[in-house]
Amino acid sequence: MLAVLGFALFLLGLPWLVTNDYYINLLTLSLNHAIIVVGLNLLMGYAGQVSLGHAAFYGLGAYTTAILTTRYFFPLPLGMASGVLTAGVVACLIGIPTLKLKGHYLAMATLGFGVIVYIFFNETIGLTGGPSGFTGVSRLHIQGHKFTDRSYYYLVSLVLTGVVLLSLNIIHSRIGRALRALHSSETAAQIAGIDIAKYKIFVFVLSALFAGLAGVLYAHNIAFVAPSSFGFNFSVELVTMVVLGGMANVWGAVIGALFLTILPEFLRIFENIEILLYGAILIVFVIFLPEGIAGAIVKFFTFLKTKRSDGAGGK
Amino acid sequence: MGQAGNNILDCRGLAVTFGGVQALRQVDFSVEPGSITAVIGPNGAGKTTLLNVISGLVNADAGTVVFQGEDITAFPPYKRALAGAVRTFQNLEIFHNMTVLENVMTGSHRRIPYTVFDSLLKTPRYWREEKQCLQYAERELEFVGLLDKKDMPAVELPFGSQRLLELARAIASSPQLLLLDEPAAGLNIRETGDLGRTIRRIRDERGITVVLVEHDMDLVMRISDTITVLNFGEQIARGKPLEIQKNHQVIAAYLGEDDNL
Repeated sequence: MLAVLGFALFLLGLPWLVTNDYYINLLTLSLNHAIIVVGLNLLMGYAGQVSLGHAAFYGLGAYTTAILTTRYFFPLPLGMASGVLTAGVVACLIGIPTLKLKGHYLAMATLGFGVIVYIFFNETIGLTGGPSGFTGVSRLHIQGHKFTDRSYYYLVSLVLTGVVLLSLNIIHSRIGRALRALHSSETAAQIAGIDIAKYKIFVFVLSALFAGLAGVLYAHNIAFVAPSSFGFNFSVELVTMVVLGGMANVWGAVIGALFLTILPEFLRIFENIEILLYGAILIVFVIFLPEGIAGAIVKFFTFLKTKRSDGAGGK
Repeated sequence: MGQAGNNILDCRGLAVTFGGVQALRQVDFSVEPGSITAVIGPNGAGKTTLLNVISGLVNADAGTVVFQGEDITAFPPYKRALAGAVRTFQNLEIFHNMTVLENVMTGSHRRIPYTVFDSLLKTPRYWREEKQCLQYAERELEFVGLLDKKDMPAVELPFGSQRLLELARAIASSPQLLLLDEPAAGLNIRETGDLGRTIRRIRDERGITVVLVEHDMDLVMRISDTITVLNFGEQIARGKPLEIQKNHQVIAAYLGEDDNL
């Protein structure tokens, strides 16, 4: 609880450190990514189910609200709710057959799903605008007051804080234990009375709802959606954020999303070798911090603690 | 044996085939409430298969499993656990990503039925039942003597303690029937002695009926009320320990060979 409060204060103060509105937008985008990654971490890090198609749920959320509010004149709240819900309903339909698959097969199935959704965004030009994207999405406003870049940042911060809080609450409950149990041993989890199929679908749908929520926030911020934002590459990037940040650690997910969204911006100045550096940094992190950034931080503090208690014990 | 209704567990005509191998052929197996029933037999006799069928991990080709008067033949494993029949594993299935305490708390899953919304919003019900869950878990850890290690990662426990942890996790669900698959495998003589006493206490103090599959004859003879002997997927004898020790068929099929080990 204290950690969440501290996190909220940190997000509140962050814009004071940056002067340029461009960086505010970058922060907003990275927090938006964090919303997806926290959900994906529940699925991957805690429940051990790998999804290579989460960009699709992000896209479904974004496109649904974009199309409904623009073409069918849905009021904003209703369109946004529909976006989140669509991601959840689709996840439920996809999850029931695919979550029976284990390990690599689940990853393959979700990959296939992601590719299909991507093709759908590209090809149904009449509905989605096709490869050139869908324009004219209205910027979020409340009773005529349009959100500025800065206030939108605060909105996304608020949503992310809520998502983090809910995720932590789930993890510190019988549901969180059930998810970790089925990650470790599906057999033993069942013997503990855990309906593993139900929990897998639950966490899959929940992570898709978070992704859909992020998609909705994205669409009404950028006011433009294009398929290229929701392709396979982005799905892999999301998985990388989970792993690099730290599996089975909610804060790790946030760190991973912020780090990998902001890092490329800092590498811009290297121009030609930008992508090489990006790759090298990933490799170094995975080799030296196999448990992710958050895992390394936890280890460091446990190390300090044991060192101190060893010292007190007179060893 | 045999009067349905009196027994906590009644298996009738169980048959299981793996490829061409008949792991179980027409096995009847019943357990009286409050008893410690051992299942013994040479390797490949079908003992573990019998436990797997009872706990639902293997589906029988034929036969029925009736638990506390309810036909659970078609139940998936988790429903059998919810009904009150839990087990441990020969090759330990502890949750490696949790602490000792969390392992046992997970065992209490079925006793704290609060919903997703209770956990999302941390309602009073969440706090109340989580507190209960903690009490259940600490009680069982104390019961098996692992309370002082509750905050350790479960994987860091020595092998013998991991067995006790599995036992604690199983009884933390407050089952009516506990199935133990070779609980003494890999334990030394002293640890096996302690285990025997713990199993007895589970029955005596908690009133949990115990079924164990075990190779350690000393342990089996010492703690069992009833012994069922399987050989090549068939029941060849059933009786009290002394009767089994004198049974010629059993000696021929099993004990004679075991002495040579």
